[in-house]
Amino acid sequence: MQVLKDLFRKKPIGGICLIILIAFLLMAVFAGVLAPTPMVNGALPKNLAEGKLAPFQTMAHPLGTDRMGQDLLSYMIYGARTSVILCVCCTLLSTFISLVTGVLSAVVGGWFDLIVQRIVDAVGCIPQMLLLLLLMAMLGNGIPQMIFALSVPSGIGGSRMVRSAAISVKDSGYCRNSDLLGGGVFWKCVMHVVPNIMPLVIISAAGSLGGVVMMEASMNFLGYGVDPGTPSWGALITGAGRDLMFTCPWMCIVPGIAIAVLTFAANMFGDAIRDLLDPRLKGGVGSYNSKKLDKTLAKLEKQAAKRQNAA
Amino acid sequence: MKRITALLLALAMALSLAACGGNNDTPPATNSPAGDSTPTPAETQPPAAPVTDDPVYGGEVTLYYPKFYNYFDPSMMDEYQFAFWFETLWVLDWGLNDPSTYAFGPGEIPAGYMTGQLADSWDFDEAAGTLTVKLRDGVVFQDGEPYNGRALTAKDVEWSYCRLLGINGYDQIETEYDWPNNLNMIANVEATGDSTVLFTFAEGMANTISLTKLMNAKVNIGGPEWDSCAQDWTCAKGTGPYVLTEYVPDNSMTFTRNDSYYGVDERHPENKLPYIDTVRLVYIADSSNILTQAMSGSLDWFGENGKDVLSGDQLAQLSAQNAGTLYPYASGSPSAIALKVCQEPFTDLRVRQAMQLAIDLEAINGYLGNDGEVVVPGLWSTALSWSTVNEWPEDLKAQFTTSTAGLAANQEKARQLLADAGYPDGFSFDIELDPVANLELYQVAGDYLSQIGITMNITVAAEMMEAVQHSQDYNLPLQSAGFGGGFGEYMLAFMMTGNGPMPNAFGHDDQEYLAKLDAMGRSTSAEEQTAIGEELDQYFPNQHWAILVAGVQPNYDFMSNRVGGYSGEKVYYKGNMRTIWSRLWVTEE
Amino acid sequence: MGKYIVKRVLLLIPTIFIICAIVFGLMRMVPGDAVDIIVNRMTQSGQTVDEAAIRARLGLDVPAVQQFFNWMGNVFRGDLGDSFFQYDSVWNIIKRQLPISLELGLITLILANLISIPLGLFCAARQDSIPDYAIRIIAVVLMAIPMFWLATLVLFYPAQWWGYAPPVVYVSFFQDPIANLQMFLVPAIMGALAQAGMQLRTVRTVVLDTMRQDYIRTAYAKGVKQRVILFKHAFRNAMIPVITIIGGSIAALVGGNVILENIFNIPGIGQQLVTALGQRDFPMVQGCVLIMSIFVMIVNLVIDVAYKWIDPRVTLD
Repeated sequence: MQVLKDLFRKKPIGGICLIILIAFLLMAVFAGVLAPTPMVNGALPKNLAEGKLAPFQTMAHPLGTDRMGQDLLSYMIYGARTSVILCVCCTLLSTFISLVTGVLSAVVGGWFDLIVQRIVDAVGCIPQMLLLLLLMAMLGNGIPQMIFALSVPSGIGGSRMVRSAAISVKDSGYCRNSDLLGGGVFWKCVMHVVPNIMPLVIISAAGSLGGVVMMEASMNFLGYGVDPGTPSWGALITGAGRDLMFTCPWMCIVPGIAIAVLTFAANMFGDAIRDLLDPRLKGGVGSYNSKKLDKTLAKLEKQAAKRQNAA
Repeated sequence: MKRITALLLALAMALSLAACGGNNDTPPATNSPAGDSTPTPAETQPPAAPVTDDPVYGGEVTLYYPKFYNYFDPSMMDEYQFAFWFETLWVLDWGLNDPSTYAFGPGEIPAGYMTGQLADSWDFDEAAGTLTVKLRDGVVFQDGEPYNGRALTAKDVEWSYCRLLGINGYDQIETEYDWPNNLNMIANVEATGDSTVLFTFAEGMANTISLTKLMNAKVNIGGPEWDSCAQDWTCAKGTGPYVLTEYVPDNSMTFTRNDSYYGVDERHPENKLPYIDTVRLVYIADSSNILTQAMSGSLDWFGENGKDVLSGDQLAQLSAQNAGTLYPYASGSPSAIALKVCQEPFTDLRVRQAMQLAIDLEAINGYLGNDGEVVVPGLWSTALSWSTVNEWPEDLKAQFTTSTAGLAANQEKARQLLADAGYPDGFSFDIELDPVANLELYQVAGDYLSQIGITMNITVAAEMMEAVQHSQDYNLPLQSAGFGGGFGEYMLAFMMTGNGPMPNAFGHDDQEYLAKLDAMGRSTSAEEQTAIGEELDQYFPNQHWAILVAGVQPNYDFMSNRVGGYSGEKVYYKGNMRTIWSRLWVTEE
Repeated sequence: MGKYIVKRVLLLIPTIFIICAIVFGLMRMVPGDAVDIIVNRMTQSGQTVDEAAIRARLGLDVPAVQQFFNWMGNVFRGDLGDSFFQYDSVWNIIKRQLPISLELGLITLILANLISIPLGLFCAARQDSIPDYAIRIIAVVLMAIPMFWLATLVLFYPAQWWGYAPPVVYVSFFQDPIANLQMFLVPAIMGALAQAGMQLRTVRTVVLDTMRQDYIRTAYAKGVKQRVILFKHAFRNAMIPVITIIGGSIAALVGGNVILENIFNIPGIGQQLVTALGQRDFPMVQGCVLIMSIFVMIVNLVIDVAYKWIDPRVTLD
C-alpha cells in the first residue's frame, strides 16, 4: 500500500499510467458488457451492407466498421482482452520461469548451475526475434502458444539477473547461518532468497509488460500470432488496416494508437515502479551490486583465514 | 471402377489445368491438335483500342517479379525470367507471322497455337516418325562469356535437348523439372547440318498430339560452352532480345537491350526489336509497398494473378488512383466449403441447398471488391465448349444468386428446407481452412449460415499438407475449404470430398453421376461427348456437393500508363514475357 | 587477461553446441517438412513424384539424431549445407545477405547514438526540469509506437500526397552510395527511433548514477564548473555502461529488422529467414540462426573484454 501511495505522490505520471492499465484491464474483463455490439458465439455480428463506415458517422458505430461490417469499437474492446491476457500471462509466466531457473541455479550451484548457465547463454545469443519465429512456427497460432513462445525466451533471459541477485543473497551472512542451522535447499530458496530478490523481480516484470503487446503485434505482421478470428489489434493492422490504408485509414490508425497507449502506459508504470523500488536510484550504495558484495565477502573470508592461521 | 476413377481424375486435372493455365506447359491431351487455329476464347472482352501512337526507342520499365532462383542453366525452364535472354524453337503465336492480323489479341492464347521462333520452318512426317527443323538464319548469341557472340548452330539445339533426356551420348543433367516425362515422345535429336535438326519420335508416339507437346515443352536453346560456366549469372547469355546485366539475389534483375538481336516488329517491319532499353524485374515482399510503387508510377506492371499480389481492396484503391490500367481475367477460382457428403447432415440434399441459399454471393462479391456480376461456375471451365453456365435455366441460377428472389426470401426458403430435412433449429459443424485461404471470407459465409441457425466453427490448419490430409479423411467430422494454387478451389473441393474407395475420388457414390461420367469417357463422337458434358454441367451444381462462398474472382494484370503498344493481352502467360516486352515501348510524359 | 579470453573462447564451444541442438530440435518439431512442399508443388504441375528419392536427396531419410550429427559434423568442417529451395549453399547466401542486414543495423545504430547520447546528457544535466520530462516522455512514446505501423504510414502518405515511393531496387553502397542510402535511410530512421528512446533513458540514468559518485562530489567541492564535470568526469565514466548497452543492441539489430526489411524491400537475411522458415528449409534456417548467434556471441565477448580493458576495476568471473 505504501508503494501505491508513493506512486501517486512521487510519480504522478506513473500513477496515471496505472489507472490507464487498470482501465484496459477492466475493459478486457467486461468486454461483453462494454462493447456496443457484443459477440455472439465467439464472433462479432457482421453486416456486409454496413461495411467500411467511417468513424463518428452513426451512433451505433462510434469508431466505424471494418469491411465485414463489424463494429470497430467492439472489436477494439475485445482486442484489449487479447492484449491484456497476453500481457498478464506472459509477464507472470516469464517471471516464474526466470525465478525458478535463476534461484535453483544459484542455490543448487555446481554442475547444475554450469549446465543451466550454458543453456541460458545459448538462448541469450539467439536473436530474440528469430527464436520467437521458430517457436511460433513449431507451436502454431493461438493464445496459449503465443504466451509460451513469448515468455519462455524472456524468462530464460531474465534468469541470469535473478541468479546473480540470488547468489549474493545466498552468500550473505544470514543465509549461511541458516545453513548451519540445518536448513535444506528448498528452505533456503523459499525462506531467504526469494523474498529478498522480490523487489528486483517486480521491477523487471513491470518493465517487461509493455514489450509483450508490441511483440504480439510484430509477430502478427510476420504471419504468426493469435488464432485467426480472435480479435487482436496487431491482426487488425496487418490485415484490414494495411489493406485499406487509402480508403479507410482509421482501421490502421485506431489499433496503432491503442497499442501505443497501452505500451506507453505499461512502460511508464514500469519506470515508476523501478524508481520507487530500486534503492540504487535513491543515491545510496547499491544493495544488489553482487560484485561489490562478492568482493567484500571475499575480503572478509581472507581476513578470517588469516586470523585462523595466526591462531 | 478404379480404371474409370483414374481416367476421370486425369481428365479433371487436365481440364482444371487448361482452365487455369500458366502452370503447365503440357497441353491437355484432349485438347486441340497442333496447328489448330480455332481458339475458344476464355473470356469475351471489349475489343482492344487500336494502337495509334508510334513506337519510340529507349526508356526503362520496372516489372514485379515474384521469385528469383539463383539458377541460370537453360535446362531450368519453368521460370519465366529466362524468357528475356533465352529463346526456344517455338513460341505461342500472337499473329506474329501475319502483321495484318497482329493485334496481341486480348485475353488468353490457347495452348497448341504455336509459331516458330528459332525454328524457321519444320516438316513433320507422321509416317516416318520424324520432324526436320530448319533453323532461322542470322541468329547470334549475345556478346560476352561463354558464347562471345557466335552464330547459333544445329549442334546447340542437339545439346539443349539431349542433355535434358540423357540421349545421343549426352549425360542427363539433374533438374527439378520432369523433362523425361514431358519429352517422352523423343527418341533422338540430331544435328544433320549446320542449320537442320532431326527429331526422331519414339515408337508409336509420332502423332499430332506429340508434336503439340514437343512444341509446348519450351526448351531454352543454349550451347555446349555453357558447361564451363556453372551457375554464374554473368554467363546468362542466349539469343534473346535482352542481356542480363545486373543481378541482385532476391531483389532484382536488370536487363539491357541486345543490340545484335535479329527480331523486327511485325507491325512496323522497319523497326528492329526491342524498343525498351532497360527492363527491371523487381521482387517486392510487402503488398503495401507494391501498391505504393504502382501508385507513384515506379512500377509498370504486375501480374499474373494480381489477386494474389494485391487484395481486392488494394486493387480497388489502385484503380481509383488512375496510375494505370487493370486488365481482368476471369481465370480465378471460386471459393467453396467442401462437404463430406457421407456425413450427417450433409447426406441430405435439402440441407446442402439450404446452406447455399443462405449465402448472399452478390453481397460477398461487392465485399471482395468485385462489383460485377456473380460468375457461378459449372462443372467445367467456361473455356470449354461443354460449359453451359451462360445458358443455365433460371431456377438453377436462382440457387446461387439473390437477384431474383432477394436474400430474405432465400433464407426463408432455406429455413423451410432445413425444417423439411429435420433440422428446424439448424446444426453445428467444424471446418478447417488451409493457411492461404481467405479467412475473412469464410467468416462472412459463417455469419450468413448462422442466420438460418447453422453454426460453422472455423479453425485454420498450420500447414497446407495437414489440411489436405484432413480433407481426405472421410470419417473425420471436419469439413474443409477447397485448395487453391493451380487448381480451381471449387473443382478441387468437389474432387476431394466423397466416400469412394479411393481418396480424391469423384462422385460421392452418386451412381447416376458416375454412370454419366463413364459414358462421357466412352463416347465415340464429339457431339455425344458435348451432349453428356452439358448435361453434367447442370447436374453438378444441382447437387451442391460444395457450397460456394464466392463466385469466380477475376485475376488482374496491371499496366502503367507509360507503356505503349499494349492492349490487354496476358503478359505472363506461358513465358511470353519476351515476345511481349520486346514489342512494347514506353512514352515519357 | 589472456587467460580470461582463452576461458571465454573455450566456453563458446559448448554454447555453440547447445545453440545447434536448440535450433535443430525446434526446427524438427515444426510440423511438416520441405519434402511435403516439394511433392505438393511437383504434383500440382502434373509431375510424377518419387517422395523417397526427394527425401534421400535432401538427407531427410535417416533418423533425426543421425541427421543432427551429420549436420554438426559438417558444421565443424565449415560446411553449412545447401538450401533446399535455392540453388546455392547456405554459406553463400549468408555471405551475400548478412552484410546487407548489417549495414541497415549499423546505420540504425549510428543514428540511434546520434540522437540518444546528446539528448541523454542534456536530460541528465537538466534533471527533473520540464525539458527533461518532455524528452523522456517522447522517448517512451517512441518506444511504444509499433514500428511496422509507423513504417506503413510512412510508406503510404508520401505516396498519396507527393507520389513518392521509396526505392525498391537494391544498390550496393560501394557502387552508388547515394542510391544505397536513399533506400536505407528511411528504415534506419524508423528503427533508430525506438532504439534511441531506449538508449536515451539509459544514458541519462547512468550519467546521473555517476554524478552521485564521490569523485564528482569532490570535483564539485573543488569548484569545477558543472559543464566540465558533466563532460570530463561523468560522461567518460558513464560511457562504459553505455558501450555495454550499444553492444546489446547490436545483438538485437542483427535479427530484429525482419519487419523493416520486409516493408522496405531490403534483401537482407531477415527476409530470407522468414521465407526459409515457411518453406521448412532446414539447412537455411539452421545455418542462418547459427551464424547470427555466433556473431552475437563474438560481439558479447569483444564487449566484455573491452569493458575490462577500459575499466580495470571490473572483476571478471
